[in-house]
Amino acid sequence: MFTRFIFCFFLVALLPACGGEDAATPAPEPTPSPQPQPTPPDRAMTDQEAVRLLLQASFGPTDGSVENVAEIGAEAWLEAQFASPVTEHLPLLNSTFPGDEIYSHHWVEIWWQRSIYADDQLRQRVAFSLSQIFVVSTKDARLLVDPRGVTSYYDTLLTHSFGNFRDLLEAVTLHPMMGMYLSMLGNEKPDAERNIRPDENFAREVMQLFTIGLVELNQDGSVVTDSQGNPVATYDQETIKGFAHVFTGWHYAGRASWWDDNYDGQSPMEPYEAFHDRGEKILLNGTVVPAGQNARADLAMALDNLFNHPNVGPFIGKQLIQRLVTSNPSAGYVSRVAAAFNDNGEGVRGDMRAVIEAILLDDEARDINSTSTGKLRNPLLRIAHVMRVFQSRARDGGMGHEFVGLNIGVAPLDSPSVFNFYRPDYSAPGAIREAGLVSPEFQITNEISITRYVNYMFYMAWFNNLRGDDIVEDDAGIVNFDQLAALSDDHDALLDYLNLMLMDGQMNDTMRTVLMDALDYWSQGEADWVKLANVVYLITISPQFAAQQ
Amino acid sequence: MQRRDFLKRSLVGLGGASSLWATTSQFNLVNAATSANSFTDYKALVCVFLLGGNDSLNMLIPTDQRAYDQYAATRQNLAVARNVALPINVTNTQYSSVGLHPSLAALHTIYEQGNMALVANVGPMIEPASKADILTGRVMLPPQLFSHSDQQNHWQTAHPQQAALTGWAGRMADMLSDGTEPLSMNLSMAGNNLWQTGSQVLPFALSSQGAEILEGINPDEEWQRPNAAFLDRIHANTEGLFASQFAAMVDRTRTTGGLVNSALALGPELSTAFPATRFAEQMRLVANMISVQQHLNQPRQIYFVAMGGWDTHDNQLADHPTLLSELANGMAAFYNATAELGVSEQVTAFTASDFGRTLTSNGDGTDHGWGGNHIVLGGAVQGADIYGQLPQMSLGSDDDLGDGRIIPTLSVDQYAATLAQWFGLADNELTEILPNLNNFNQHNLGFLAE
Repeated sequence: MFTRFIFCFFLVALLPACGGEDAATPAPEPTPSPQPQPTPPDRAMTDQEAVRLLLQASFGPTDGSVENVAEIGAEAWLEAQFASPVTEHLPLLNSTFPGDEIYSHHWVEIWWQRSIYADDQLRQRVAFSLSQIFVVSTKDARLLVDPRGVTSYYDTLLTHSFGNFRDLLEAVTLHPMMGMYLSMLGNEKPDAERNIRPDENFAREVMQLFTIGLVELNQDGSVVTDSQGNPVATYDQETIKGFAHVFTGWHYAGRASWWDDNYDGQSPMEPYEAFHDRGEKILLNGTVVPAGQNARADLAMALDNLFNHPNVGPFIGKQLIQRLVTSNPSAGYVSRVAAAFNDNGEGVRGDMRAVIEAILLDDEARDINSTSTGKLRNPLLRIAHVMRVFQSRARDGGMGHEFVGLNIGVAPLDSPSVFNFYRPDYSAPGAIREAGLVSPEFQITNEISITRYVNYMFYMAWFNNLRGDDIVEDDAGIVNFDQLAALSDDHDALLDYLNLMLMDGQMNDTMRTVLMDALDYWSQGEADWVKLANVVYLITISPQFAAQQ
Repeated sequence: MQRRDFLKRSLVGLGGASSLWATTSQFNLVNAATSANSFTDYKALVCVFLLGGNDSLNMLIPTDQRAYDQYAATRQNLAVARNVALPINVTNTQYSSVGLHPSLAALHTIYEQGNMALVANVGPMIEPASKADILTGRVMLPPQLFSHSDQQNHWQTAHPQQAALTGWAGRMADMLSDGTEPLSMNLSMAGNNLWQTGSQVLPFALSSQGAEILEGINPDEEWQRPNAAFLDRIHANTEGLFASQFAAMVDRTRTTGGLVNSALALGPELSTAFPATRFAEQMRLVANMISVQQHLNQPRQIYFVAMGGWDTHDNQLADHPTLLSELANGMAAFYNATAELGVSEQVTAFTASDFGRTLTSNGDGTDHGWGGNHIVLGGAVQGADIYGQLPQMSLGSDDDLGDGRIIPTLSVDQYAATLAQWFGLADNELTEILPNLNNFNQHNLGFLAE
């Protein structure tokens, strides 16, 4: 087996150096916090501050992007990113895999190519965050077999990432992948004779997960309670029924009739009026959809009804903060972001640019000494970070990570259910829970996922370009260690670089000492790549790398 | 780009490696541990959670003519044909004859032999609730009924009126553990879950390969030990709540993983064949773990297994029978494996699920309901019978809260108490882990032998 081969090679090469050696474990020393560097005169911010922004707002820093952000600063970088044209995924999927032999891992391959190398990094990162709110999943067999449809759904998120939330909501609602996933597609008006009533799936989840949540919220995200101190529910079963009746009569675009078998996994669903319920419906806050309207008119009223609910700003805003910046934003932070959702300063509600700016330019996001808890990073983001820093590619031009889901249990648009891989309010048992904090990404952190992740990092670090022909597979993702090799003789400079690019300057003195020892240890009689792989491996499996401050 | 999965292959390949270094050091740890409990026997509870909400009202079909006609009229195209339902022995129900869904065929014999029971119309409740009480607001109801996430939580916490942070299996394990055990009593095949989370005891995650080997810091590989020591030093100086928690979990994985694999390596080869489904593979690993419990010094084990795909809003006619047969085949193989190991009377498996589904259809599927039927399997089960009352299969009945969302007549608390009592908890301990139990008259439903 291929990997056995690598191991044999490695063992033979290293045993003499290892023999009798023992890495001692000295007592822990006190560790001063990293001191922030002053901003250089010709820069808008320090490199460390630039990396911080790029960890929140892109798939990770590169030498070039750090340089760029440090030079122009956060506001100008955001403006440039907003102006950057959308890099869609579907055209690349279609040109790379034009034939009928197309599988779900091809979509993941294209997702990596775009997420790591597209210039519109902010948009790519925001769309990835949205894909964890507006969830569809290739765990559904019907989505699994239509990678082009799934990719088209992701492009829909990309297209609307910097637009208005109301348009995003409508585009998501009418996308046939969502139509299939939450069964609005083919949902028909009631038939009392046959005990058939409208499907409630989309009606329920569009409220619970995509717009307003279960309970009334204040603008700062806190829960509204009644006189007995109980949370006030946003809706009840009758509201769900109202929406379920609205969402009737939609099917694949381009059908001659409802019962036609034309399949279109990409165009927005279209109404088939004979199957739409034209009765009166009661929505949120007692809003009445009058009888006799067609499907589009009903839909517009229903989506307006959701969009204008005061919960949307704090509900969506807080989740985007959690995906990008911190698991536990202060009430003030949520409130500021929700205010930007409610009014972008020009009287427009739902402007995503205003929301994203409010999230990323807030002091809580920008302050390098923020006391915020930060967050545990999604393992996909940790892998992407390594790929970006070391410009990873396979020799055959692919990325080599299309089976990431099989290995670590997480892949884009592949969550176990519409509730995503983790809930925004998950609180890990132990100190985090005792502190009353939430930690969503810990929901998928357990003995198995940790093992898979550590092993994935092991292979990523070992599959580096300095090994040359040792790596026999052309489709293996290979990280480029040229930059590290150039610093290889100067361990201080090497650790400075790794501290900046992989750890945003958060490496404390003890960790630096340990890594220095590791570099010395793995230098003994070995090729350069050995110590570089080991030190990158140790950093990327460290708790400091897993967490984002 | 060709289809490639070298990482997958390599991980699977490495997962089988033996763990001799761990054997010597860690089994000593096991043997040194003294358990707070005084169990001299062995028992295991296995929760099979059907994620998404099983249409379990369709697992049991009333087959006497009048009841069947009513069922067929209500369920319309989702009704199972009377002549294909598998007739089963029943004494405890209002229906004179009941059939099992034909896709549960693999469990039919086990049921008839008395090693499986069905528990009718169970759901999360705070206190008994009649339709009249609910409609007039005279009864406390669990919040957010019919929502997936909430009803899953209610099943797992058995404390719906609170945002409970622990599950009833976690609280039970807290009670039965003394905190010195090297391996958690609560073993999960499905990662983190609320049910097994206690104040002290947390679920330990396994995959169907067991605990997998960490590459690069594996102490069994001599050349990797320096890296393990470097990581120890990094961990010793980790600051921050999130980083520290991550470090703690990595350390738990490192110290306990080898122990599990060393034990599994000592287990017998099972001759019982398990189907090649994800669910059955999980059940096989549970059987493997049970077979080596003496090496792990665990007189009590609690397992969590999950199977997804049950949220049949559409395509139910095709999907639900497939799901049921995967469930039945996996559970039947598991039962047979425990019989092969000679521990069938010491192992009880039971189903749980978000909710039962609406009796009414949305055209090609069903929506979220409340009460549902459940399977209890094992040699200690007083089987070949249905416990509790099957609901009336008609719309507008006293059991129907609307659209065929069925009001449960048994609470999760009663179901859990019966299982927990068999597991070894005393009466007063039951109410400690199940705070609402005293709201219900019957604490033990009788489906398990004393």
